[in-house]
Amino acid sequence: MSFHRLLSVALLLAIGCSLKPPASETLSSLPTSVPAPADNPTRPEAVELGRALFWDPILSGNRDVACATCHHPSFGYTDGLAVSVGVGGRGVGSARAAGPGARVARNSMSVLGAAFNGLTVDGAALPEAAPMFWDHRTASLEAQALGPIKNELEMRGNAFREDEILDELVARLSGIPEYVARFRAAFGAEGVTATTLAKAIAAFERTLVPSPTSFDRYMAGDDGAMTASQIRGMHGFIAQGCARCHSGPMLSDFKLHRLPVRESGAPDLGDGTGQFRTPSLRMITLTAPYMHNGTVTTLDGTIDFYHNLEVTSPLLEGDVEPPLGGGDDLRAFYEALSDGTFDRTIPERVPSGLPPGGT
Amino acid sequence: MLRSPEVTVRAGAVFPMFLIYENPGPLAGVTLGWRLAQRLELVARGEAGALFFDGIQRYQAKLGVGVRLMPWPKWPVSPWVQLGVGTTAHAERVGVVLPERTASATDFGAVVTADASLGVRIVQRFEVGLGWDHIVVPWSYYSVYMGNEADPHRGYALAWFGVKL
Ligand code: HEC
Ligand code: HEC
Repeated sequence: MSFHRLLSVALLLAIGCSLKPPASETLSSLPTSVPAPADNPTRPEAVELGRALFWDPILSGNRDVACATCHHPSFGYTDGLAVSVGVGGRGVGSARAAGPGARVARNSMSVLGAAFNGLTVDGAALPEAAPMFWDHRTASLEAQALGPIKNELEMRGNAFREDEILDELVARLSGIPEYVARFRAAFGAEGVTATTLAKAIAAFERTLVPSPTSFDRYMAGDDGAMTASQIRGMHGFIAQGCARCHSGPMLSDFKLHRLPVRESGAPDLGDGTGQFRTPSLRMITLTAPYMHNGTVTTLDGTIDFYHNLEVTSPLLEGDVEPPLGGGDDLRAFYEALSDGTFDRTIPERVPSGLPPGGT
Repeated sequence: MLRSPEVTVRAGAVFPMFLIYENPGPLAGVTLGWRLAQRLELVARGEAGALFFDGIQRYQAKLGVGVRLMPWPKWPVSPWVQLGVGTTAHAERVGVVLPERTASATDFGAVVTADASLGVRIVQRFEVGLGWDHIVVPWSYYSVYMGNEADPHRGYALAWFGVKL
């Protein structure tokens, strides 16, 4: 037994108390297998087809935007922008923020780990019921995938109506022999339909899961996987009540809450209740800016957000203090949640011949 | 040469005002006093305290020196003030029980403090005191976090009752 170990045992015996948070406020590691619906098992043909579709701007009305435009591996499968720039935008990252294009009024959510949406301290949601979007307006990755395609600002533009675009896309894909062959390989006789399009994208997204992070490895019993600072950060995070909402394997309760987040210039497109999901804090160091409208630009800003927060109305939540003096430790804990590796492949070509990821 | 000192043993409480600690903890200490003049004493103090909060245990020990001024040393209730400096070493363990395991970490460190205290001596024998130990050199500085959350560099208050041996 090392001296440190001995001393910590001695200290523990002297008092014998560790913090025992209620079960609803605990954290745990991610399962290693990713759930998939029975009618869309994660098969390699579907995954690779989904990857091509995810990167192919052919899915947008004007052939200029792909899923990857706003969910890019360089930004942890977000776009690095406060609010996304859809139809008519150019480039990725800050160049896109400065240029033209439709502003989507919401911050892009990471697709990394979205396959586990709905997994809380109470167990996993069925993949068919996995909540999607900041306001949970859709369930399942399959259903979600058709959302941006039909959305005028994100991908559709105004060349097609919402009830026309899926037929248009099926027609476009059916005209490209490589796609026809790959849909057949993945889905057999079903071929190219809006349903198989969504299934292929969802199958690919189920592979966008980071490898176990330092936090996961520590939870699994590897004592050396987290530093003392990371452990202090985690302790402070739980002790100060952050885990009342950021709990479970995803560090989210997958419930909607109304926090006093500063309004951005553009009004939110949602139902106006101002309620948003507790976002997962996995891969958090890669997914700035933060909050549903991107109004918090840095990780330190998220700590200061809670520090400066004034809950002025009984309808508002989030009145917790970050651990005083724990800034560095909390940042270290964020690192322990974000150091998993993940698929960063940027395809060199997509079957349509258009530039992968859009213009 | 200094004469042999007056020895006062003390017991009381420490009130932390740093990091996330909120609850007072027990304190035990000893003060050695050497008369320099009728109204002035050189003091050496040593004390140990323990702090507990939500799964954190911190044990700290201070050694310090200072001067104590007693304007009316003959009064049965004689007030005094004291100023000093010292260093406080600590061992701290944090632990949290999670479904898969107990997460815990232990840290050691030391801070430099400047202290001010005041109190009364009663019938030349008993002592009641209140003090503030201000952390002037903290154990760690932020190196990553650069936001506007308050720095942890505050200090702790002490309250005690003492008996001269
Ligand atoms: C113009 C940028 C943009 C494009 C293009 C885009 N998204 Fe998104 N995505 C977003 C934004 C913004 C959100 C959050 C929207 C909301 O909550 O209303 C989001 C949310 C999501 C989510 C929800 C994640 C979660 O945890 O709930 C998934 C999954 C997703 N997008 C996948 C896709 C797929 C697949 C495509 C292509 C078919 C796509 N996105 C195209 C910007 C975009
Ligand atoms: C009442 C539930 C609740 C509590 C308690 C809470 N959060 Fe949050 N957190 C949320 C919600 C909801 C959001 C998204 C708010 C929005 O965008 O409107 C959020 C957003 C965040 C984000 C930004 C994530 C992103 O991807 O945009 C971080 C980081 C964060 N919280 C950390 C913390 C820390 C640290 C604490 C403790 C000091 C804490 N949270 C306490 C519910 C909570």
